Amino acid sequence: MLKNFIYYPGLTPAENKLIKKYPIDALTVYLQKNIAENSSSRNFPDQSLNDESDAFRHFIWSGLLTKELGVNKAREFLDAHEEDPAQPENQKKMDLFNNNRGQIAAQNLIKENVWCLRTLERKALNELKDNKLSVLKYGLIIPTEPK
Amino acid sequence: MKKYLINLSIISVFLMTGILVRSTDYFGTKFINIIDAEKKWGSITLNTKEFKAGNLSKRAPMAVDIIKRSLYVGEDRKNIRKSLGDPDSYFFSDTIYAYKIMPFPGENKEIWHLVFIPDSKLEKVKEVKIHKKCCYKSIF
Repeated sequence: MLKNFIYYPGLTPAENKLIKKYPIDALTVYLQKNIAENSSSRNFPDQSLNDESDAFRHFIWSGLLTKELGVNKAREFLDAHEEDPAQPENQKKMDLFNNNRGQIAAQNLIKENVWCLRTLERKALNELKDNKLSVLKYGLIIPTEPK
Repeated sequence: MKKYLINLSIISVFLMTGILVRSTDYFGTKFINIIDAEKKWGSITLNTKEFKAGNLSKRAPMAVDIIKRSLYVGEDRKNIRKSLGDPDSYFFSDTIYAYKIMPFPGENKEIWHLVFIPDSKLEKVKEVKIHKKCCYKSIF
């Protein structure tokens, strides 16, 4: 039903199933995706695929979803997004790795009671600088502070 | 009762959002029509080798050719990668292949890219468009 109202191109079959199963959560996923994309555009205006901006976007999206939906349901949606049969294996691995880093970061920030988008962004930038995120194509300048 | 009202308001926002999406096409993002695109960049026959090589000064007129001749529409998505190389831009979801067609002009300056919208089964290419990547204000 959700898909009949909202035009969201590029959904994987696994995502379609989750939308039917959890329609309200699916809306949350969609809204958080927009926040993650805006965050990524702000910090990396020249975005590409498989680069630092891609790693950052996945980190932020998974962090936001973990906060909103909890670890397990967020993971269900994040994994479903990677169920694209046309996606090369190394790129899928990269996305899953960075999703996992984002989930760990969100859990820690919540536990330490310092959760907010800016702290999550700062954590993502630090992890990029320290080569803790998976990047297949290097080249972007990493901001020292979130923009 | 409180939970019911919260759910109802979420659904209402969602329905309004859905209507908005339908009426403005991808949250008001802009696609250039083929006539304006040809005026802006001209058109040259697609050379997949050159496109793959990533010469951004030549990609825009080749993108116009792709759209003019409806190249790739109805084809398997995997063919895009084989033919044009790995996508090097991002639009809406990483399942939508996107390619840069011009050099990065600097922050907050107009930039366009070529996007391949898949069908609902995520198998074939439904549409190919040139999308204005920058700049928009988020409605959220």
